[in-house]
Amino acid sequence: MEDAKIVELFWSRSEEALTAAEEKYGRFCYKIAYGILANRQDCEECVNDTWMAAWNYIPPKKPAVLSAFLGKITRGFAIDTLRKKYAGKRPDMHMAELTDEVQDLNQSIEQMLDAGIRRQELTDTLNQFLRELPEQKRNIFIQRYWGMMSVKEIADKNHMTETAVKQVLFRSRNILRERLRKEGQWR
Amino acid sequence: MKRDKYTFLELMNDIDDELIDCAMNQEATPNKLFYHAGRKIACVAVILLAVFSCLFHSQVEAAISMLTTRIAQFWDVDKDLTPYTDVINTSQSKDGFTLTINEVILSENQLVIAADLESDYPEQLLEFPGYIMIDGKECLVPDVSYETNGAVMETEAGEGPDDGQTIITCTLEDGVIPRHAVKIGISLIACRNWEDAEKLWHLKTDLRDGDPVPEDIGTLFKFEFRASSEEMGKKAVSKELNQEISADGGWSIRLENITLNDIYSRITAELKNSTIAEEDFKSLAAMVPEFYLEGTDSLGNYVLYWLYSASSSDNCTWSAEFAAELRGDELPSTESEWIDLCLFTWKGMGEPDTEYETSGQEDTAYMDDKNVRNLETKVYLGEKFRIYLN
Repeated sequence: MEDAKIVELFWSRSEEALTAAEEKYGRFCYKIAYGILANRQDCEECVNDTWMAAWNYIPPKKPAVLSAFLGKITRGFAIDTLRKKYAGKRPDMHMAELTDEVQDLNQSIEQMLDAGIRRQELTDTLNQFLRELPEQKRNIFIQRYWGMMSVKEIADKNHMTETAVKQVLFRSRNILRERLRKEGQWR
Repeated sequence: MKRDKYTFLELMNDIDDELIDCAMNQEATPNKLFYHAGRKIACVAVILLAVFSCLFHSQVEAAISMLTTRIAQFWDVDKDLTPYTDVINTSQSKDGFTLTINEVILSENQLVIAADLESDYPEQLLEFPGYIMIDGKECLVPDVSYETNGAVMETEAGEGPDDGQTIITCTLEDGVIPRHAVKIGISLIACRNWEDAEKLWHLKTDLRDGDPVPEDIGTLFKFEFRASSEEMGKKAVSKELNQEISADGGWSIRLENITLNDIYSRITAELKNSTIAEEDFKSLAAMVPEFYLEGTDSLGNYVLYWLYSASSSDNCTWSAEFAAELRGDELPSTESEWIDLCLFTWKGMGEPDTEYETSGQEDTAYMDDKNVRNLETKVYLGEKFRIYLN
């Protein structure tokens, strides 16, 4: 079913919208949740919560890209679950690796927030940085840090070696970090 | 916004939907095949070169020696300093790394260094320390970008990782390399893995010429030679184009600039589609079809540029960069007078998919054809056009 039709069903408050969304994006959302939580039961809960949240958000919202809209909801729930589950502890291997990679970026962002920079400005910087990256590098960056895909999955998807993917991520993170640093200084 | 180890990952949730859609719904693109084919061609070329070098060793040596002597006389080069042409293709080995400088080119204000790093470390990386030495003075390079040809190579089962050639582009201030010959020193640092490179990155702002690189982080290589900006810029062409091309499907391309050297070529352009309404543009901004520019140069070389990057602008256009690289055997010659090109895409590209593959076994759209040149699914969009280089 077309995305526009599913959104229309949400707007007309038809429960068929939930079935259609689950049918089309259930696996997509589950995969995102699994990339974060790596636990079947937790993932199923997040995905179920996604449909309920979508039901509450649409209307008034009218998402242009339904996959991203639903994926963002799932991702938000999954990160919240992870926070509660591993409060004060080190998350499991896959997420630990991922959070270690972005440790410096966390620090840069926190410094910018401390300097009074608003979240929306940070988002604008992030979007601008992503748009300026060559397409393949941008996709790899998003697959890793939005889609939470493993380096191996990204390498397979892009027909690259895992080493090459790590290099692209490393270089891209450095560019972003440098950019955040410069913006922070400018402020 | 909560502040913990998930801060950045949480911020990533706010990025634009169409960027997510594009990345998560990405299909395998055929241009990797060029690198795959290019690698094989490069291997054959290296073997042939090695065979010829062995067969005609004495003649090759004599010719190089004569050439370098003449250059040295012409530029009044110090006897103990390598001339520019001699540093190309030289190797240094240290700490299990072998580093070969393939090219050093000055293209306008960009110093492009192409180098091959070899070692037994599967995750090796080549880093630039952030400065070059010009006539004994340290010149900081604030803007450096890296490209790894191998980054888009597919590794066959059973093969070790192949990281290919690293291309480091340093943006210099105008006139940093003078017109007269000066002593130039280029340092490069080989790291065993990206964790070491990460440590180096933190050090880089403090590193200066002569500073030792900590042994546990990387190995420093230094290449010194004597050259002028004119000499280093001989292998580079840069030209403003300002050409407007109309193509089928409502597309138009305004070619802005071309840069060409022996390593790569880029064409910057502005893409526009008259059939896309202004209100629809934002949602389609990340959906530029996979365009190619294909043709021949005046010397008869096959030329192919692929869409390297495209970002949407406020006026409903995309700022695009088309790229061609030596490794793909698709680069025009710097000696050619013109290039004839035609825009094409391949059937199925640009048609938005509605279904996500989430099994983890995707990439079924991977092309069977060994060479995109002969793809049957090519769709040409409009007539050939000519770009004059000289």
